[in-house]
Amino acid sequence: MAGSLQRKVALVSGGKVDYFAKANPDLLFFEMAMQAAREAVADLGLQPKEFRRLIRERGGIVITHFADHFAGQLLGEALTRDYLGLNPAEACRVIGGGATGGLGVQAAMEKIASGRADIVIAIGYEKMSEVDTFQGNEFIALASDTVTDFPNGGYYPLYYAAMAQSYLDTFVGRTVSAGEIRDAFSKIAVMMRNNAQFNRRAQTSRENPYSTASTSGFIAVDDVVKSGIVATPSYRLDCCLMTDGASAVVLACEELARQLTDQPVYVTGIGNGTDCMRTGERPRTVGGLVADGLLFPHEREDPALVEYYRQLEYPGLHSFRAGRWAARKAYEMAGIRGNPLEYFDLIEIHDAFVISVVQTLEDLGMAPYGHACKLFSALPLADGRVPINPRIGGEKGLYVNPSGGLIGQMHAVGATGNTQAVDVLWQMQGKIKEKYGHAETQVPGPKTALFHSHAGTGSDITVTTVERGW
Amino acid sequence: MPVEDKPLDPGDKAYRPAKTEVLIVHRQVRIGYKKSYGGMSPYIKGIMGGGDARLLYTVCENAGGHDRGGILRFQVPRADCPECYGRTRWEQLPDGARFYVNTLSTAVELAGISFMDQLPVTVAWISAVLPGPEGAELDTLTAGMVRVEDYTRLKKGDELRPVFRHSPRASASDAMWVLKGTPKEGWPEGYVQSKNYRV
Ligand SMILES: [Zn+2]
Repeated sequence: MAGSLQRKVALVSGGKVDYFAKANPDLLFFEMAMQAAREAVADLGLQPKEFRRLIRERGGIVITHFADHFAGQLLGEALTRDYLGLNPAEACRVIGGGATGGLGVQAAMEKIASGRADIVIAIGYEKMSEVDTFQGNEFIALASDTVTDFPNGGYYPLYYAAMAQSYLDTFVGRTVSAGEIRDAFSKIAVMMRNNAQFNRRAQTSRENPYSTASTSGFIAVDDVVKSGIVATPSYRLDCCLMTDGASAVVLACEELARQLTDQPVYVTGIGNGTDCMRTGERPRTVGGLVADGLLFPHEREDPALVEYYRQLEYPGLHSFRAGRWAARKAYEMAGIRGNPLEYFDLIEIHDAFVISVVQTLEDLGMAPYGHACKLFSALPLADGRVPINPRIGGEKGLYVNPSGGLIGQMHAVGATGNTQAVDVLWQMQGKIKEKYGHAETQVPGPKTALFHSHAGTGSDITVTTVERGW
Repeated sequence: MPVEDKPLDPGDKAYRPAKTEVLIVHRQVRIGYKKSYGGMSPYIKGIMGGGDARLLYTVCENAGGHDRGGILRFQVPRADCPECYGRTRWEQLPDGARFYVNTLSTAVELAGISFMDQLPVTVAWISAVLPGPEGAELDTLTAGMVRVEDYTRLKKGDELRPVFRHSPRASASDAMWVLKGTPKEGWPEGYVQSKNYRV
């Protein structure tokens, strides 16, 4: 049946590179992958020899990396699985821009759900530091249309900033004030960066030996605006990191998962949506959300909201239809009909820029379009800082990116969606103190969670929902 | 693909974060392409015309084959219709067409390597509206670089006009944009007005 999993799939263990870094010349990309895989295997209590036999005889491998240009190496996935001694097991690479890692984890789920494999290791990596920042920005911009958009100033922070401007033009004065929205943006930047200070592997953590004084440590809201405008209206500290790093997650069928761990985290829903790469080609349909049947069940029950959405141009350049589509598919599969802000305990989302957090919470149905910034502008400040890992949306709300996300922890493109799965798994397994070196961002007893991966300006988006299996 | 490796200049402080004794080389790679614009070629040829430049778009009139019915007009031209899979027809935007900023951003501090020497670079997503009583708007926006005196004042709804590179490079950037009525001194260097679109 379309839209269902044929077998239960569990996340059983995860691992990461020892330290995410702006530049880590000490490790080749497959050596970074080894650190991540070694941790994931050790956490299962298996000897590598046993693990490799399981993968060969009952499993498979999914490897994700985004831009061959960064490493100057095509088919790097082959070198990676050679290095991990996994041949001749079945393997493939999955790629989809910034959603590469998320798509890879979902591909691993599909292998298990279909019965093709009982255990899969999904590994993501990216080494972005070997070209300078201008060149790196250009490689990323090659993931925009190279005929039309790239020759016209091609630069992803600008593409995003133009969407942020469209968001402001659409909602300021209608649902929110300009001051309120900037307040929310700065608080989001501070929340991500400061959460990451309790994650010793995060690129911006002071405890990370690869971090530098100027790019690590706690920040306050004033620092965000003082950081200078990168592309109007976005400030430097509104933007995510560029990272050298790797991540790995092991998934298994129910029977094997129960043998491997007492703490399996089961997949309840997977969704993936798409939209035009050229943002200017996306529909700008008044009432598009309603006309195209894109409302969630809890939204359809609110007549005032439906009426508001009948007047709203959608998706225009302000929102990610791909994210809504992905969430709709995942929620349907998982049977989630209530307000997802209340349903989930924890989410790890793709905060490429602070605006993405606002847009994504709306795409996920956690706040009405044009309203999500209020969830963040409401956060209290002390000495210019929001509380560490605050619950978003009040008592019934949830925790957003305790890891520090792409702004605070890492964005090694091909690893990012994979890392989010690992962070969610560790949260649910109660391992944050062990893995981050601090307990401050451990969510108390999470039972339900979501992770989200995002490409381009929303060309490919994945949403995966999970629940605690013990 | 010529690859040239040499030891990293010890004076290069930008890339010495290693914690162990590793060897780092400076690698220079050069790649040449013969790049075809395929079915989009008429569009690129059109904007390469300098003082005779033309902005072409494509149209599909097969309303019954489209999700919402109606004619589809593609400002970034497509030789084939993405909805009915038919072939589209080329049209030229007339002088009376009007162009408006839908959204925009200006790269101030950082950019890709091709633009790092040109900052600030303003890019707008531009809507095109046909003249005539119906004033049909093309269904898609195009991205274009805009030259303005003060980028902080440019905003949604501002009316733009195209200018074209006098010595074209066969790039989408052979067309740029200025505010309607901008005097010649305000146009980007090396760009001229086309007789088909008065600024
Ligand atoms: Zn058609």
